[in-house]
Amino acid sequence: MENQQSQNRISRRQFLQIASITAAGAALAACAVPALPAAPDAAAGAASAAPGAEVQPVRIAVGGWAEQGTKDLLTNTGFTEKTGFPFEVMLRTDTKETELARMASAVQAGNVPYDVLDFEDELATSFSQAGYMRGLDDLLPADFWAEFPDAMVENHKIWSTYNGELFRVLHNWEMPYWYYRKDWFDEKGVEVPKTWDDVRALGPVFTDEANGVYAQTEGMIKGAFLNVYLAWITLQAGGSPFDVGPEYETSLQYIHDLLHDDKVLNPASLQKDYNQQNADYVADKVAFMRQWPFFYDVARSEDNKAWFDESKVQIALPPAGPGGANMLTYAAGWGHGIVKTTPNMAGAEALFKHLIDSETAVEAVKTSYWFLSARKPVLEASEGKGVAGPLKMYSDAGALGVRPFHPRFVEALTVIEDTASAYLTDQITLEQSLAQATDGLAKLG
Amino acid sequence: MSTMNTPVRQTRSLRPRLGALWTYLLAISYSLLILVPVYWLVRSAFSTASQLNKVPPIWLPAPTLQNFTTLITQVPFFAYLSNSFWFSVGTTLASLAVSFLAAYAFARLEIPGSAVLLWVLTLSMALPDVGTIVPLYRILAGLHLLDTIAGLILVLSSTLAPFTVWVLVSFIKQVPYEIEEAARIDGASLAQIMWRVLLPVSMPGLVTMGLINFINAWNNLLYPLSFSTSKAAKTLSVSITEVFAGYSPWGKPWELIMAVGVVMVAPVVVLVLLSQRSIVSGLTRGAIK
Repeated sequence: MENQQSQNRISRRQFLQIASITAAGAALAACAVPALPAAPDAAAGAASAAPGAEVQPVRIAVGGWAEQGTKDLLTNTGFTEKTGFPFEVMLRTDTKETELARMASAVQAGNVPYDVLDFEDELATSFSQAGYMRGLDDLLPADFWAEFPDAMVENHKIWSTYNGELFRVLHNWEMPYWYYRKDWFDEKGVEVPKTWDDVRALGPVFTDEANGVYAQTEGMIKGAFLNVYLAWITLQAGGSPFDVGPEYETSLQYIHDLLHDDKVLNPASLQKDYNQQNADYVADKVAFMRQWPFFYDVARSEDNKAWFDESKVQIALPPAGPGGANMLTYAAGWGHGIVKTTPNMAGAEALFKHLIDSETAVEAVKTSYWFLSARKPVLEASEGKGVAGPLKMYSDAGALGVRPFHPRFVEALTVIEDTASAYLTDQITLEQSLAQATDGLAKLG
Repeated sequence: MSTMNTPVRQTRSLRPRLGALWTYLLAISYSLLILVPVYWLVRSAFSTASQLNKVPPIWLPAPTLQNFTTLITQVPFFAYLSNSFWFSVGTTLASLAVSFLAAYAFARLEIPGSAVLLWVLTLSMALPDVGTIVPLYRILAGLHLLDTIAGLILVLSSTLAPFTVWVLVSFIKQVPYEIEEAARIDGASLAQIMWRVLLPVSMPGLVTMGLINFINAWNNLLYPLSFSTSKAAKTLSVSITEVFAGYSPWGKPWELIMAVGVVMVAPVVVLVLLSQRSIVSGLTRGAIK
């Protein structure tokens, strides 16, 4: 059989001929699959390049929630007319992991998926340290920072500067607010808590375990949610979880007490994300909680129209911890930066300058609350409408500290979350948790 | 004597029935376990956002198509769907065409070092996809194939080819060489032998691998995510990273993500059901040497 096969086998030449023809055919067929032409962007279509010059459109990537707002902003403020650059608004992904995957492959290959990017704190540390972002100091007007409150300036220095070079300018400045059920507080005749100790006393007032009602709920599931809460509480204690100092120890002990002894905080919070946290609130299962401004919209959404009443969603200053009244919450931000390897640097610079311009920033907040920040003209232009009211209240009260920072933020938050959740679920002692956190962070360098 | 035998007979006749009953119970329980996530996916896709997080859960909500209409307005849904289709079909055809020829060569030609070559090819499967992203990006940029379906097909079909070749080699080896000989005696050329003789008898293997490759392409996120930036080449899997809740990045729109999930799962389920017989036949034949 073997011999027969050998005798009757086709020649290699024959095989190679057929194989190469078929492979070439398959490759050509693959290439012939029509890539669907992108429908012309309405906004980009309206723009026109300088006559006679071939100008590449400048591409800005934003989250889907900001796509229309950004298009409207650039159209309304006449970006193309002013600079001669057409623009294209592209969609970026919604998580740091996916965006990092996209950007890393492109930049390391000397390319870019887009020229200007709207990005968050979590990506800021990764991108800046990887050297993906262009320094922006030379693009700022001389009196640029005069419009910003101290808290925002300080935040830029810590979260948007690397090796002394600014790489991102924030247009979005949001903080966790303290939401509470004014109707319940009024009914029970209790005051809004001013301190941590006041909070402890509210467990017996509101918590009704049999009916699943708790004084407080949080989104504390691992995967960055728990870290946000830990950072928020530790800031109120006057420190940062990444220092694993006495403030962090106090904070962990306090959260543990709220969960297990004071019966204030729903223990299921350790398995909840923000969606579930919000659902608890609108299901009348909670008296107060910390949440980002988006709950302001969730509460007023069509879905919750039958439930909503102003007295159910009031915002007050968070209860103060040992850190005092100037350390009640922190702000996180999204901002624009330029990808260093862009082939369209002139266009990217023009777009960046346009976006950070004071007049554009004011127009932006009129277009969408995504562009709301504590920048003075922006806050004035927002006239206290929507979440601009609470933002102004918190800013005026001087309640803002700087978000706890770690140069290897994403890895560090994993260490903190793992060790803290083990303690909060009574798997290890507080001392063990702190020791493991110290050890884990030390390994990060 | 007879009175003593009766209970023994009953026990003997009951035992197989009880065994069958346990088997059925086990099979049903296992099926339910498998189907619960599918149920949850479908249930969530047809629920409103507020119904999704209710405690206790709403097991049978009044179905709504709101999530699908929202999906269509949030992302260029039909463009993504079309891209997913062309990407998956193109990848399947290209990987099968190339792999079939390569498998024939490995199975039938005695080329020095071919066994080593096959092992090298197989070993390349161990290379993590993410480790190849940067060089692949450079290649696609050099070929001007970034942000195109053709580029995605080229990359993924080359990634899937080693496993496809490896499986098809064993299929082709099982085809009796006498069939080819008979065709040759009847005057068939090599192309005719491959097209008219080898292809039909290898069909179960090709269908199985085709389906596996199709599903791989249909579900692939890494390549469309890394190499596509516009709706010219983004696929449905990418839309999962682009849908959003409200006008901020904070909440996770699970109901929309589940709606994308339903759209992605449905064609795969239909395909598997349609080609079930070929898959079983292909898998069992591939397992016998």
